[in-house]
Amino acid sequence: MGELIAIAVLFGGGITFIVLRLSIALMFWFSDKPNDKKHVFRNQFPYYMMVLSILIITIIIALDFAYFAMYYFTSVYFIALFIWNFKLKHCKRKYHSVEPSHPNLP
Amino acid sequence: MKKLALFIAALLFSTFFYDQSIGLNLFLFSILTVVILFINNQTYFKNRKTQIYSAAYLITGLTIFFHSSTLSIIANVVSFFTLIGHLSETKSSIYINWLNGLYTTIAGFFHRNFAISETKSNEDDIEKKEPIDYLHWAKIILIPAVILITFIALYKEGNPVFSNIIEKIDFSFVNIQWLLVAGLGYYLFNNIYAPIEVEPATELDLKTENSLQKTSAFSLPKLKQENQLGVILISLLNALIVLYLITDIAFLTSDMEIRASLFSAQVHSGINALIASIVIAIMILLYVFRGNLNFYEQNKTLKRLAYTWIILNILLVISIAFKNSQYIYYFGLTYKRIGVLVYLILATIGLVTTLLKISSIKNNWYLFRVNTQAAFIILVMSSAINWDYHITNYNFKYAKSMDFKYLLNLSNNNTFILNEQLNTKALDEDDVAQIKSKYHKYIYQLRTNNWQELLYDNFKLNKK
Repeated sequence: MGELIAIAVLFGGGITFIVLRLSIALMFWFSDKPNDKKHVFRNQFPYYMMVLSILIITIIIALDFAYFAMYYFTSVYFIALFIWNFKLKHCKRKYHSVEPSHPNLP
Repeated sequence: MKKLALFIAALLFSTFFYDQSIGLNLFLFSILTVVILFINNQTYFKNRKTQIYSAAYLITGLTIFFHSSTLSIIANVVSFFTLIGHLSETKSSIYINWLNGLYTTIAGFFHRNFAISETKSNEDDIEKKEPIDYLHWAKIILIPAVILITFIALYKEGNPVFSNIIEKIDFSFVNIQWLLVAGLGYYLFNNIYAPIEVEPATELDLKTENSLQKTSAFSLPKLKQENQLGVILISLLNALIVLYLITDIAFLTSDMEIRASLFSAQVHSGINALIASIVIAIMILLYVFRGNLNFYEQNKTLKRLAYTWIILNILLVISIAFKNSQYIYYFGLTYKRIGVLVYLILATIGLVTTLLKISSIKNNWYLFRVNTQAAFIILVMSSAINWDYHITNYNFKYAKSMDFKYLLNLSNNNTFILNEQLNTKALDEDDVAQIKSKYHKYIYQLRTNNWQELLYDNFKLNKK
């Protein structure tokens, strides 16, 4: 039973992490200056965090402040902040804008 | 000093809210928030508007103590965001205050942290701080801890007196959840003590003026056509609304019995349509006066027609208010009927501000700014009223008929007045039993309230 719970937690945590990581990466991909971290931080980060927090609060209220929901979604919030922290401060990856294959075509 | 204040605030936060329901604690939290904000932003508190927002926030907190209703909690949360957002940028509009307040509450600490590290990296790295060696700190804490625990286990086996002492150590008084709530409180106060702003939105708001400017696309022939269309459209709408108002007055002054029987259908289907018509009326006026037509010299007729239409729409609002009040008189007061009245007040403010917008050539942002401010004032004012008490009081004293089940399903704010009716009104046995059950449950709840959950009703109960 304990092993099953551990697997479920790992699986759930993994899925949550992937979803958050992907959603934050999307913020960079769809930014007009994906390599300018300050620009992404100014223009995308506030709205991302506000939307995420409103979603989290709505779900917690809808689930009548259940302990599981509060712990899980608080973790989601902090994991999202940690991922943003990593992306903005430590990540060295550069995004390449997609060049057209035939730029001279009419 | 600042860190100590935040630490004390965090401990108080957990004391107020851990395992407690809403009551006196939210008012105390409001005071604590204002104190923390005052300690860190003293200069801003000389501003009149900041003082007003602080007062509004404290008043909404106090209303929760007097009658813990959902509306007063919503008003308290909105006032919280307004005050914090206002401290982040005192010149911004109220809806930007809400945005900044929400953002500060959610990510103030992270934002400041990132902004500081950005500034430092831009300052030519004059004095590079050594990075924190987390591995070293982990070693310092973990290795001695593991070795210490191992040795304690070994010594326990060697000496029964030492073993007894170790077994007597009891950490059960440490409540992890209480500490987690305190941690959350520390994070919250750390976020809000120095409010931050959503820069793009705030900059755009500060740049956007209230006045409308003439654009380069100013073309007399086009404006003449637009003016003609506007005159024809608003004249026809004026004629239509006059006809409607005449028929409405005829209906309202008709036989009382017919009115009473028709009110239910009339109010339900009619008011929604009229509400929509007022919104559409404002939208049409905003469209007609959206640009250069405001600067067209021969627009006087159009403007007069627009003013007439606005005044006629206000008459329409009065007619709806009259119908609604009649409906309330016949069938009793309910939240939906109060909602209609609140909407009518907002619609009147909307119409008056539209009139001001047209007369003093303002843009749509002006309208949005003034109306959101008005909505906030109405929210704070309406949260100060104990609606459940007044609904029950009105329905028992003045309404011709009422839905007793509806009153019984309202919050506990009407429990005392319902209980008073047992002595004054002749009620069914079933109704009496239901009132008594509600009263006893509420009394039990009040008597078991902790000091954090205290309500004004607790003091009323003690007086009895």
